[in-house]
Amino acid sequence: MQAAAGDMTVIKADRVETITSGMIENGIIVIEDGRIKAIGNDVEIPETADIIDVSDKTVFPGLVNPSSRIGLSASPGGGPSSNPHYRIVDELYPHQDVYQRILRAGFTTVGLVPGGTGVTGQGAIVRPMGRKPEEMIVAESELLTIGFQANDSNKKIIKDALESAKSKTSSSDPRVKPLVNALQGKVPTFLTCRGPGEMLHLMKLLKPYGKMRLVLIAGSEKYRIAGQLADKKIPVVLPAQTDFEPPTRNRINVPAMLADAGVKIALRPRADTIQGHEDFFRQIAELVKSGLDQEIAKKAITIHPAEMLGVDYRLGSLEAGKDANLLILSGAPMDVGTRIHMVMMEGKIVHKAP
Amino acid sequence: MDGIQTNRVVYTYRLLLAVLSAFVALPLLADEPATAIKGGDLYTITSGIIKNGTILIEDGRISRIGQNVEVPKNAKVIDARGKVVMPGLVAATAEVGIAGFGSTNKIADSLDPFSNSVSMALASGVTTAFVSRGRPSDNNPIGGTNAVIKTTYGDLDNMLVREPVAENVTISSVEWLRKTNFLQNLRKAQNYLQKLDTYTRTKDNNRKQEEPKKPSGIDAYIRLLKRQLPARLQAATAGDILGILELVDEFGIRIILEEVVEGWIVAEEIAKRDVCVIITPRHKRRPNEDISGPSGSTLENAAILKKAGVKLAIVPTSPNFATWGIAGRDLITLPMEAAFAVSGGLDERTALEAITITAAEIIGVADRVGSLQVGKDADIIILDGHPFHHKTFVEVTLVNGKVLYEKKNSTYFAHIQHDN
Amino acid sequence: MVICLLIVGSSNAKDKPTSGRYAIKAGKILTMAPTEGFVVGKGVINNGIVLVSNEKIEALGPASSIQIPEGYVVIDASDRWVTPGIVEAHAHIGVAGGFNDMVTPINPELKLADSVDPEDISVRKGVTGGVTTVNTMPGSGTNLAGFTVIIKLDPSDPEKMILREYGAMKMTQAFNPERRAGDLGATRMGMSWYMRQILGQAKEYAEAWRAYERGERKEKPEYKLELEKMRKAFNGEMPTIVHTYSGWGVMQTMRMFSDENNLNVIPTHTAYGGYIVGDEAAKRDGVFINIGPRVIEFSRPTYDGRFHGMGAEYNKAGVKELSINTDAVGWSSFIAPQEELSFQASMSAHYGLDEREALKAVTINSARALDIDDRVGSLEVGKDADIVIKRGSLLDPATPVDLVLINGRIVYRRKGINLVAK
Repeated sequence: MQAAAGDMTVIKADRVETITSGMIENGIIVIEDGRIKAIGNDVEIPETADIIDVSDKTVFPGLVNPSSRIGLSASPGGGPSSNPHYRIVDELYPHQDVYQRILRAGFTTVGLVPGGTGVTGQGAIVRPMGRKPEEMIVAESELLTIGFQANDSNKKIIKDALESAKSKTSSSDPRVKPLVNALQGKVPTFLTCRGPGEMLHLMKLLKPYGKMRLVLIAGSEKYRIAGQLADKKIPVVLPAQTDFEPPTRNRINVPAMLADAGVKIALRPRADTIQGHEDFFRQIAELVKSGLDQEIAKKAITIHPAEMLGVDYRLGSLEAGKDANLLILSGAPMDVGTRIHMVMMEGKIVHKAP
Repeated sequence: MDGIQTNRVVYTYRLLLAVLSAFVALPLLADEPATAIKGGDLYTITSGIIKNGTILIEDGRISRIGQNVEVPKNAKVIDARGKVVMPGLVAATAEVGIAGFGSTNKIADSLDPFSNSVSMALASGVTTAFVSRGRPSDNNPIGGTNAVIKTTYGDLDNMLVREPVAENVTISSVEWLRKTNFLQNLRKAQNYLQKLDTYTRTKDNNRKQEEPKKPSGIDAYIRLLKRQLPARLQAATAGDILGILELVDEFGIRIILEEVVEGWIVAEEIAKRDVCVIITPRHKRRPNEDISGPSGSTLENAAILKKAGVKLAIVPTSPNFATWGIAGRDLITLPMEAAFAVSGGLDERTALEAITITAAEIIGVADRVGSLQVGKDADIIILDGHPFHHKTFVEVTLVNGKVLYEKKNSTYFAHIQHDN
Repeated sequence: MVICLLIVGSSNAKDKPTSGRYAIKAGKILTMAPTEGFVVGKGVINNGIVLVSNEKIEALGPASSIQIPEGYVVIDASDRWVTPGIVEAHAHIGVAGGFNDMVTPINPELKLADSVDPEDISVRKGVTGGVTTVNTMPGSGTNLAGFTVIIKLDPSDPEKMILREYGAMKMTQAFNPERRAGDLGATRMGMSWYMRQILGQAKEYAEAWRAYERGERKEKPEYKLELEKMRKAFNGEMPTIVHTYSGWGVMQTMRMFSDENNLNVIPTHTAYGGYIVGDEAAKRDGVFINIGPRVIEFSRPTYDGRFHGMGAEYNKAGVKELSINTDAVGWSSFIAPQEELSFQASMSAHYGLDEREALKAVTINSARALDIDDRVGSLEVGKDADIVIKRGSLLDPATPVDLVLINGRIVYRRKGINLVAK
């Protein structure tokens, strides 16, 4: 591949985990203007490029956490309400250690979401750095979130909101447009609910709106409806932990169970805290050790969450054309001794281990 | 599914099928193979006991019952030799299937087919239950909602049978204002209906008449007066019961009475008004020393009510599935409560009916469940002994023809084996 | 002469009713005699006769071997079962005026015999379920509540109602007496200390008196009123019954009472997973496990999703003299009332306890635990004529009790049933 002039960086690494095209040994990544220009082990290195020689290290895509409330204020309480116009974008607080810390822990993309119940608003896809909210925002497109509980008032609020927006496809009303976008599948809709029974109610409620791109976020015992989720192609975001099979103390690996049933999974930290993020690789390794396929695990923390957020066109894997968001690791990502040596965000080194 | 196929082969096949189906009681419409339960003693409830009988299930319903039933070759066969086969039990009141979703105005919106209570219900042989949510509040005597559900684990779509099946009413001698409101609203509704009736009959002759305006807040009372739904009330003492019976006399409404601890004292009066009762035979109430007549509770309550001709269902002291350690007082052992009624003189047949067909009749779903009859839902339990024996366990539970519980494959009771 | 006595007895209504002389024709007798098991011909007698006189069982055996003396009133139970009266080892009935004096955590002076109330509803309701003897107790609000009283459920003669004034020493290991007012005894450490302290004092006191009475000690020990009652426990005149829960609690009870103080002890309740140390209980003579009102443990302490029958688990672990209680207090539907002690046994059998063990658990085993088996718990010559007649096993909830005798007197007769020959 020919490299052109410009602001160029080249990374030479022992191994490069592309996620979508397998693992490249003795890999070379050419980065220009914040994007991957070329990637392979037979790539021509431009003369003017800065070379980062990490030929004893492994390159991995930056981690994507699709659903978090880290750094946000408390969730609203009270009964369900419909606030499609509420935007996380308006609530960002960049001046917090928390974003620095999770960036250093390897997270280059985070989906921040509203809390509460009902139609809770629009999430935002951010990079955990920047001094102003605009600097954090990654993509224009956002996502709609619905917090569901199985009772008639909650169902009514959601149904009324969707029905009223159904016909107003050209509306620019900030209370209507996000719903229209969700109904048309232009943005994903993130769903939270508690048990599997509740999810059945929700699936039934949303059945008439076939174009919506639904993503299920966590909740308990979802493996009981794995078949239905796989059938309807609803991907699921799960915390990176094993659970007890109720009412016993038998450990079950729910991510593995869902993956085996054909459900697309993403994994997020076990706890939505700084520590949860810093500990993430170890949590993933634990899951792999107790039965989750390693390749699926790698996808679950990179390309799958990117797809669920609708930003896989630019993130989630190491491919030409995508953002140069990557981690330089001291070894294989799932190994216990592996440390993060460097974090690169859109071509710039934003963290280097001392 | 698609009937617009004109393919000749398909046509011929279907013709053949139609011809063949003339030789069986119901045509084999099902995509799924039939299920047959063979060799057990069938306690049909409505047609006696069929020894060494067979039940054929197709499409979730009972399609044949008898001693010489022909079973299709590809049918799934369940061996019930030496066992008792009964309809699934009907709990005339229960806390099941709607755990923990907060308050709701509609049970259908809050059913949880994965609830632990549903698993335990299946293990206990309870396949149909009356559930209620919300209560009358303040001085309003009618409130909340209720429904009949089935314990269809994992299946939300088939869980609800009907909502509502009654009006939840709470009035008693203690809450005098509620009773006043109840009576006044009934009268208001009655008054309105009479005016409406007059108007409807005479409006052609008298065009100047205005249609009477319906007062607000009386829809439930109209349903009661029109006997579309029964009122479900609690009354424990003889005095309270008599007070409720007066409502039947005055308004002709249908009533289901719960508690009815002193029903035995006024059994004839209850029977006269065709009121149904739901009782707990072991309910304890001390005799009232301040009155000269009989009072208090008795194990003979059920027998005396039955003798007077009162229709009764039986529920346990705790209408739930208890795991905290006390055994024999909740729905896990529903038949035991009926057994106590037998010890108080109730005949065994009526006692069995009280937890199956009569309970189904009282909660309004006897067209579908409560007995082993052709055409009814295949809600069936297979027991390892007589239901009133204290060591009997449910071994298999089917709902809508599907096996949803097997003792040997469930952690609950698989480890308990009885030799005798 | 016999006839005259009968006429005199019945015409003088003011006399306290006395026991009659009965010949009970029995379809099946279950003696529950400890040595006879359930062998037909020994513990189980088909077509038998029981003779009752002077409040006692005069004779019993196959009908062919017993001649009915003249003047004995015949009770025709030839299509029924005849069993011993049911013995309750743990209840709080037949008393009035409270059972928890909780100012101090240790109350060795109190005896419940002072509070017996023949009018309590559970006394007359209990016999409808065949219960004839009850160890009724102070509560579990303190670590040493006092002393229980063993009563017969026959209120006609209050003097005769008390079988033994000092039934058992009632103590509570934990799970209730935890002090909340900031005083010592809020923790298990504190409670254990209180108990060991008083037990130590009582043990020493009893030993001193024993030594004095044997002549080994010259100086007469100081008389301490508050320890006098405990002395009876240390002299083996009554067991100690201890409310306890969980594996920890049951072990602690066995350790503290049996191992350290050589007392006969009835660990009672023992739920929250206590059965897990059943094998330790089985090892110790003088430990009598008594379960109830909970008789099942769901998934506890094992997290295995199973309903464990506590009785079955103890039996499996080798516990031989298990007894079952109702813990009846008041008279309600929510937990077992006194008359449903047999049903507690039925449920224990349902959840896996061998049926014969379940029957023993509410008759001879309770009597043995309480050390009253010289009087009650089985049908044997010389024992009290406490007899239950019903159509069916004691464990069958669908058949009612028809007739009950206590001390040879008919105390309960089901309405409409008359088995007594004219």
